[in-house]
Amino acid sequence: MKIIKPGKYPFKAGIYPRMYKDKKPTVRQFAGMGTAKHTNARLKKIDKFGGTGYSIAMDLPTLYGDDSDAPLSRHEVGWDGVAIDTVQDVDDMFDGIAIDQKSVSFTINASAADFMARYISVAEKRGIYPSRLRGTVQNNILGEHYSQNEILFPLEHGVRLSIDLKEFCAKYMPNWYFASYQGYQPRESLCSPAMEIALPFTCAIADAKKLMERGLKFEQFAPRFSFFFDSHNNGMKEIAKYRAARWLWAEITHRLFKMPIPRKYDLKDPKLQSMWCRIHVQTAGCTLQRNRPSNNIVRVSNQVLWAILGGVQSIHANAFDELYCVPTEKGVRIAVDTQLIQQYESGFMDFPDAFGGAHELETETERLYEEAQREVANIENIGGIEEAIKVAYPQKKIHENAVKEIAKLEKWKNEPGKQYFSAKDEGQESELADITKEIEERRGFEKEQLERLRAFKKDRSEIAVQNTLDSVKLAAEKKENLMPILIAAVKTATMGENHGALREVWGGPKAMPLITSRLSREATLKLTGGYKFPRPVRVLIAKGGHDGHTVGFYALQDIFRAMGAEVIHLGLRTTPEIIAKAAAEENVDIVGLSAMVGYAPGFFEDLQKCLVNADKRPPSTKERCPDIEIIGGGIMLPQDEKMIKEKLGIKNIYVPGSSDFSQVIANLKEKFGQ
Amino acid sequence: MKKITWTQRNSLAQGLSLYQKYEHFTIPAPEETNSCWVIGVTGIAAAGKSTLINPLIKALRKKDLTIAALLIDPSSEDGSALLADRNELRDPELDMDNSLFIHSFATRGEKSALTIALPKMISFAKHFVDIVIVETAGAGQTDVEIETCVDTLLQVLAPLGGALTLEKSGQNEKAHIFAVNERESFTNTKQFFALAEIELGRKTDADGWTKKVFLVNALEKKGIDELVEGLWAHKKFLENKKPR
Repeated sequence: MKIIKPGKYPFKAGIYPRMYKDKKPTVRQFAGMGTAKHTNARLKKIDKFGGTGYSIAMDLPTLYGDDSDAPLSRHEVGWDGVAIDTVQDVDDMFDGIAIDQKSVSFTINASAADFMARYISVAEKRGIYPSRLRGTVQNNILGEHYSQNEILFPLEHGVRLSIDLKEFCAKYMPNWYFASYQGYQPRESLCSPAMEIALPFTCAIADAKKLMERGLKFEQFAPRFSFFFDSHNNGMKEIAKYRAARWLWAEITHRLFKMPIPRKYDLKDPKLQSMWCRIHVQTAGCTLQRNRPSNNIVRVSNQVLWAILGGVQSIHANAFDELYCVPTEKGVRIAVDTQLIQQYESGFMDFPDAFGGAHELETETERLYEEAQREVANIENIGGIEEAIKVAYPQKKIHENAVKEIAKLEKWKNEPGKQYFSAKDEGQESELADITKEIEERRGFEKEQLERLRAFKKDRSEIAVQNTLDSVKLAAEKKENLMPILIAAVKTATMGENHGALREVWGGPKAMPLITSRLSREATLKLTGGYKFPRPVRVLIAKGGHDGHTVGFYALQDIFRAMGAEVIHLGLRTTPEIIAKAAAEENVDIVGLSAMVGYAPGFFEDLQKCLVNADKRPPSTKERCPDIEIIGGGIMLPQDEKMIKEKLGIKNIYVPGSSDFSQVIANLKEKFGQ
Repeated sequence: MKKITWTQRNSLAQGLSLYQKYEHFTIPAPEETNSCWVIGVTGIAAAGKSTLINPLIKALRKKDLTIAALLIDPSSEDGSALLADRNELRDPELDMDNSLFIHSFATRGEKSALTIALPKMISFAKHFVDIVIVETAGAGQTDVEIETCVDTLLQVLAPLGGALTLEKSGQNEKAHIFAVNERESFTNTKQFFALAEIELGRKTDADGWTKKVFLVNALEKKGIDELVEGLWAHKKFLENKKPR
């Protein structure tokens, strides 16, 4: 086996010859919570902890391009990221921070163009040219179509908007990484490691072709592509994955985009840089455990080490309490320290590709390279990733693998010696105490942000807003780059207004596809205990809030169907009012609501209120007809679950990993009979 | 703006459930109203019925009329059903529209039961709204004989097959209006539309109505206004025919 040194084509061992001896991986921790002011304070704290870059998380309403006062934003504002509505929010978020001296990463896709317009506008106000800004914006809308469903427009229009931003950055922002292609999210949805490599690569290929159609040369933009991978538990496989990815990308750039295999390695040569697969890694959120959260510290530490051994450029270590939404301050500190300890104490920083040449690693690298190459070829044969998404190829592949993985995990968890994974212990309550305290604070964010938004709206002229939105609509109908228009528009219009204008011209996203859940037949039967409704029970299932994670939603659908129910599918992004209207019209017996991110008791309280309001039957009939039963599921803190059960009287709440589904079945049996 | 009140909403929903549950259920109803217009929408499984109903309802709603949409989907063999048509009607414009009522039905395997109940359900719904739209899978999926209980029957066609297919399809003579639903994946839509016009259009029914064929694109919402004009033309035709 030929050993290839780091920095040499196909860069299996690393993209730079001296790797970390010259440039340490960026310690990039997620921050972003509450309003701009809260995030500002957190950013300054990260500086103090020793972080070298920012990674800003936005809340769900922002990721979906909505304003904080939109009906769907209730209970989500500032919850799992910072709330951005206006240009003022962006300005305040970086108050007292020299943005031309910092590398900032924004994890945002569907609304990336509007957000970046706000960032650029703030820089302009501070006298900083866009060319001096450094950082990354995720901006891969194709990835959203196959993983998280964070989409605002029909596919082709969403792609156009993201290409507009890429073209603008390629021309005017030479220090900005304007596309970070996600393999992370599909892997978190349990796709295979080969798919984790293949999906982002096919997105990058599609974008490259589009940018070249606009007259750019490959080497003008490709050095600004970066890739975002997961760091899972199995060290050898993960290290092999990063190596295989670099190898395959170098080959793609050479074969498909005619980048020459370098003879002299001039590190400043854009053609050489175009062949590099730059990798940002986040440790695997899906491996974290809910009980005994401190165990996660050990797990994350391993995963950080795999990333270092795999020669990646930047790392985000998950906080041990990330399962409960945005990490707490303590969580962030430990995560940063974990990275620093691995950097300074593991010793591996001085040995690039330390295990390169080891037989097992090389074999695994080659195997993954070949498998990923086959997947890229499959997608290209369908006609590229855009076409593949339309025929649901990647969605299907992810889904298939997830079904397998979940069955495997279920078995694994119950093997002897694995009690540490799901057991609870006494210490847990106190471990959760800090988390609970910080989460309590979050409930106040919504009010504060709404106040900020009101203040901004009060100070502007309605005519100016109307003119601005008209200009956005006009530009959307044409073909030219939208960025200049957006940069001007953000000064007056809010994020929700801009996207509303675009949606008027382009329309909204297509309805979610109907698939089955990841539960196998046996798993479904195990959950229902074989119970069947004695009569055709009608169930309405809906997903509350903006969140597009559909695992729980499809699970509900399959569980109810297994019990013989007629399931009415209301889809994503429903407000309690929409659910109540549908429940009344469909005359359902049960409403199933899945809520993942945000203040869970709030969703259920609103739903309950709306259902009561919708029920305007005379009291005498009300007694005879049973009330609508609410069944809820989602990720929430133990005390929220308790509150929903006790204060709201909603008995049927299922929290994966903590509550028992047989209780829900018992309740249903009691209500509907054997 | 005309509205369906919460009381009406609840009564209508529960009435429909009762009709479906008890085959011989009847409510002593006031006299038949003449003004309500019943539109039936049929077509084979993948023709794009539910995709078309969304822009169709939006276009009809422009005239400030209240609408009840009754969507029928088949039950599975195990008795359960996935009723997904309502999800196709999710739309910021329609989600909280108080002049729109949507109810989904599963066929519940007993084909005859729904056939007996459906005409009663429709005439019950007529008391609450200006327009009733009934969507059902066409022949082959269920045996609901929808044409007997609607005023205007619209059939959605996917541009598949040729002149012979068009001649053979059983329901063709019954529909008053045809919509050929254009889609990217079918390249010969234009040709199919031309054939459909020859085979199905311009034929005169026994009552004197001349059949019409329209080309639409449900997904891109093209040709919808023309189609709605065609539907209105049939309503006008029916009104003129009635003895005054």
